[in-house]
Amino acid sequence: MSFFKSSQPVRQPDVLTSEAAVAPHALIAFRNIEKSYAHGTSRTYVLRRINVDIKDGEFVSIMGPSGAGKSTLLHIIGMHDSAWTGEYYFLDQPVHKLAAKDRARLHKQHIGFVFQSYHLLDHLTVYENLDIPLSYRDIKKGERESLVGDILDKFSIVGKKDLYPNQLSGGQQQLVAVARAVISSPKVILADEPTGNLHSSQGREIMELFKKLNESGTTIIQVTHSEANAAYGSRVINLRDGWIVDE
Amino acid sequence: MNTTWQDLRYALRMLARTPGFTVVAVLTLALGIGANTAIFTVVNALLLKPLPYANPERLVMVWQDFRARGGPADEWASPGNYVDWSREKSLFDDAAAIGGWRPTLTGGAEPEPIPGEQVTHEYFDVLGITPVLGRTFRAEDDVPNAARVAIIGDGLWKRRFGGDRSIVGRSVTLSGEPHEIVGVLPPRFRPIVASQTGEIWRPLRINTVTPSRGAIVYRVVARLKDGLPIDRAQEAAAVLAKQLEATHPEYNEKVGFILEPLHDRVVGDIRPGLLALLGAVAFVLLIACANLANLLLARGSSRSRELAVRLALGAARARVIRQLLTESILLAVLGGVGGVLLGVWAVDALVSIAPASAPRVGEIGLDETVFGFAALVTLLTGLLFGLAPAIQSARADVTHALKDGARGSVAASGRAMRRGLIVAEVALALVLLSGGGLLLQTFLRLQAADLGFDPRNVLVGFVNPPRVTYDTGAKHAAFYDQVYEKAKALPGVQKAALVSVLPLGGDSDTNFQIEGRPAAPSAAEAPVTWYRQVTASYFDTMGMPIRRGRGFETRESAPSVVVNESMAKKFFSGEEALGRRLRFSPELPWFTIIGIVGDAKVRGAREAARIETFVPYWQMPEPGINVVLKSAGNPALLTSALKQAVASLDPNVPVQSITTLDAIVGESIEQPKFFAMLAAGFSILALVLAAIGIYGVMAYVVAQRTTEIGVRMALGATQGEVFRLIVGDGLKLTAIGVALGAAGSILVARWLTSLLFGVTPGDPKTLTATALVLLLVAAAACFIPARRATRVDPMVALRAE
Ligand SMILES: Nc1ncnc2c1ncn2[C@@H]1O[C@H](COP(=O)(O)OP(=O)(O)OP(=O)(O)O)[C@@H](O)[C@H]1O
Ligand SMILES: [Mg+2]
Repeated sequence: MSFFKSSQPVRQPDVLTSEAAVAPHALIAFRNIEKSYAHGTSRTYVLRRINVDIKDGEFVSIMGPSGAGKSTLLHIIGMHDSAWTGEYYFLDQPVHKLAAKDRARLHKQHIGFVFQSYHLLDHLTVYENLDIPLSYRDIKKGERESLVGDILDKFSIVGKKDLYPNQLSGGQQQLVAVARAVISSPKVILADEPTGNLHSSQGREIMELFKKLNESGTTIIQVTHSEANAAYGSRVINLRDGWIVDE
Repeated sequence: MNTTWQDLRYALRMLARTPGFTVVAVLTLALGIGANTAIFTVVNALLLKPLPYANPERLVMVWQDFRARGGPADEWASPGNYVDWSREKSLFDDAAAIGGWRPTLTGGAEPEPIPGEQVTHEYFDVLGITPVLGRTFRAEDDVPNAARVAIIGDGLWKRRFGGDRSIVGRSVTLSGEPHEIVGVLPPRFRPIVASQTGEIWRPLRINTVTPSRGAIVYRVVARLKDGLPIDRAQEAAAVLAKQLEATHPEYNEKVGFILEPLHDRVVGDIRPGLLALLGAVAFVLLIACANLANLLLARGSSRSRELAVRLALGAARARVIRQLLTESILLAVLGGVGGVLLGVWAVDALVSIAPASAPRVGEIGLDETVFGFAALVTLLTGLLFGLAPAIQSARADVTHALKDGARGSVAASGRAMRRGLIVAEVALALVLLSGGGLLLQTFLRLQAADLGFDPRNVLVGFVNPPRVTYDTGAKHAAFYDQVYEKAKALPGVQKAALVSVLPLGGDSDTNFQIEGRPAAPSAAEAPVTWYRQVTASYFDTMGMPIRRGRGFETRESAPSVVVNESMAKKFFSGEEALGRRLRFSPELPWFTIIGIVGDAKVRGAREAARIETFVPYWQMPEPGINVVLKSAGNPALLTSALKQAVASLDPNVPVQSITTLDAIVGESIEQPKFFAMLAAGFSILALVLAAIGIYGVMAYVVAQRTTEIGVRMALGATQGEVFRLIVGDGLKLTAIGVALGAAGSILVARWLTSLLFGVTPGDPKTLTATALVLLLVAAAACFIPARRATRVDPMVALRAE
């Protein structure tokens, strides 16, 4: 019996295509992903020929110097960014072929986000912040209340539910942000330098949390500058100038 | 002084650095201040400026109060009343009687009817007017059979006599009689009664020894005795009324006397409408202020870092507030200058569309009062829209703002203020819109009202042969016969008729007695009817249906009358009216009622139909008659034919006041139209300003919330959900504003009651419609910012960390 219940049974996507065979067992499969920005007539490449498979249940850390393309890669995985070339399979679905609407549905169903600066909404209470992701999914009010209640309980922040973000410490805010990412039971949590604004002890706490989530079946992909943080994970992807230099 | 100068220079530099903001702000202010300046200019000229007479506050109109006899409170006076009043030296310094006069001036190319007045010789002394040439009237000009003299106005002098300075002493022919011109009035002079267009005056020559008491024909203006307050004068007048009731019971029974300040009479019923307009433009300005406050708040938060730096460097908060206020007042002054320029133009436009019946229009113009008002409004405006944002910005938390410019306490509390301003703007706009809607509906209903006669395609003109040559009723009647026959035969005329008084054109009334019923013990108790002398064709030409009995035969010789339904109902309810007889005075025969005609609203749609009697003109001829021509097409095309037809009968008889019946009906609702159009215009202005305000705030909100929107998208919000978030936010504020505005407009509309017709102040349909319009406009104003919100790229939004 783990601390976190494993996520809901994976709903099989209704469209299965022939390309699914390309990457049979990966949760995420990148094939020759490239990302560039145009500057007048010239182009700057931010990501070059990225080929990577991430399996369900992995805990991956993306590392590399500033400007290497880590955040860019994370946003592509998170399906915020669609201006790239190459092939991206998520749960065997060809993201590169999906219409914006289907991509949004996929993203909503399976992905949770944690940001370096938490990004809790200032004018909403902790409780209301946790409710946001649920409000964007067709979940009844009663069910939403019990889900928020559960998560407040699991993260031991029941006492803070009526406080506003600016009444919390940084670590507490990030705790709420992780709770918010988890509440809709995503398969993957993407975290961009989640401990970047925290003291090391607070950072450790978040990492422990990720570890537990991972143990209960959630795939974690984090960007980090810290070897110590990377050590919580099972795998490191090193980026430099848009290239994967080693794994 | 030095710091003020420095503040000013700095403020100028700030405005120059953000030209877009400056232009929008100055334009908004110019619109608001311009509208206020224009309406205030009119209010100033009509309501505030003293009348152009000597000590005008001492002037009163003196009326007979006939209310106890079922008549009006402002009945005119008989010569007897006037003589009694003018002798009351403990009450009045002087009193003058005024009678109507519209002589025909001959000797030029065409006979010209001139609007004028016959007045007792005190008239110009009462008003305190000195002529530019010659003299005013003397007591010896003003006795029966005195030599005929006249005084002319500046307009007539310049137009007809080329401003000839030797005019005094010259003789002119007026309606066939020679008159010696004894004086010329200054150009500023305006006669006091309704038309205000008089150009010629002559003495009334009342017989003051045995004045007539039966004919109620004069208006009386008087100058209160020096030092006598009006309420004391009113008490004394009441005592006098009681005395005269005792001396002349046959005329003065139950008649009181009322003193009305001349100013009230001149201003008349235009006051409530003007005040409503002044309220409307004040609302427009408040909305403009709200918009500006919003702009400044937005700018204030983007400048919070600058202000924080200033505060950190040791500037006192008061000093920072002063700096910011200097900027807003500078803006207001620029807007004020623009506003006055706009106002000058708008005043011209207002004057050109002012209803003909509006008083004192010639006096409308800019003066010190208007400039003072504009300056005051400008200053107040600058403080109003500048103070709150200035205090708001100066409250900036220094450490916070310096550490993290994007999100500080400024942004948070500015947010509440901004939202409050939107709510206020919407509420103000709703009050204005619903008020404008009520006035517009009033006008439309007045326009569509069924008056009981058909004014379409009807040309009218007044024919008044001079009494010198046409000195008997029979001669008048004979001339009218000829006019009628000629007019009827004109090509293009379908139907023709004559009538002594046109609908909406005045009235004459008379006592009467019904045969078989006891005569009233006194004149005070005798029943009264309005009467019109008509041709047999009148009812058909006017489209007035005969309900029972019949109309007149063409040459009906037995004395007969047609009465209207109101008269039949009031005096013969439950009895047969047809065949009954009535008499207007003992010396006239009994007239048989031969028909009952449908009621016509001859005083306009707002007033109930009167008790009316129609008499064949040949049975009771009076001087002056109106020709009524119904044509198949445009009636105005008959104008010259009618003139020629009458001139061919007698070249000395002009056809006066030629116009269409539609125009007369239109004129009678010109005032409500004027107010409705202006109110509608200001409502639209308010709506546009409110829309700009909502748009500005929502656009700003979206910019401020970019990160939040990015986060929401990252958490699964779809574009539709983001769109609804922004539009919903805007509509929620609008809905609050609408609710407050609805309550406000119910309160405000009560002041409009006297202006309304056919709608009630709280009319739910008007409120619902205006609320819907506002919500739609608000939704439209939110649309672009909301669309922009859906295009937020979460990646970019979140990268801003
Ligand atoms: N909108 C853009 N236009 C042009 N170049 C961009 C844009 N956004 C990002 N880049 C560039 O893409 C590269 C990768 O950026 P990215 O944010 O992915 O780096 P990162 O590895 O996350 O760096 P850091 O560790 O500093 O967060 C950078 O060189 C950046 O300058
Ligand atoms: Mg990054």
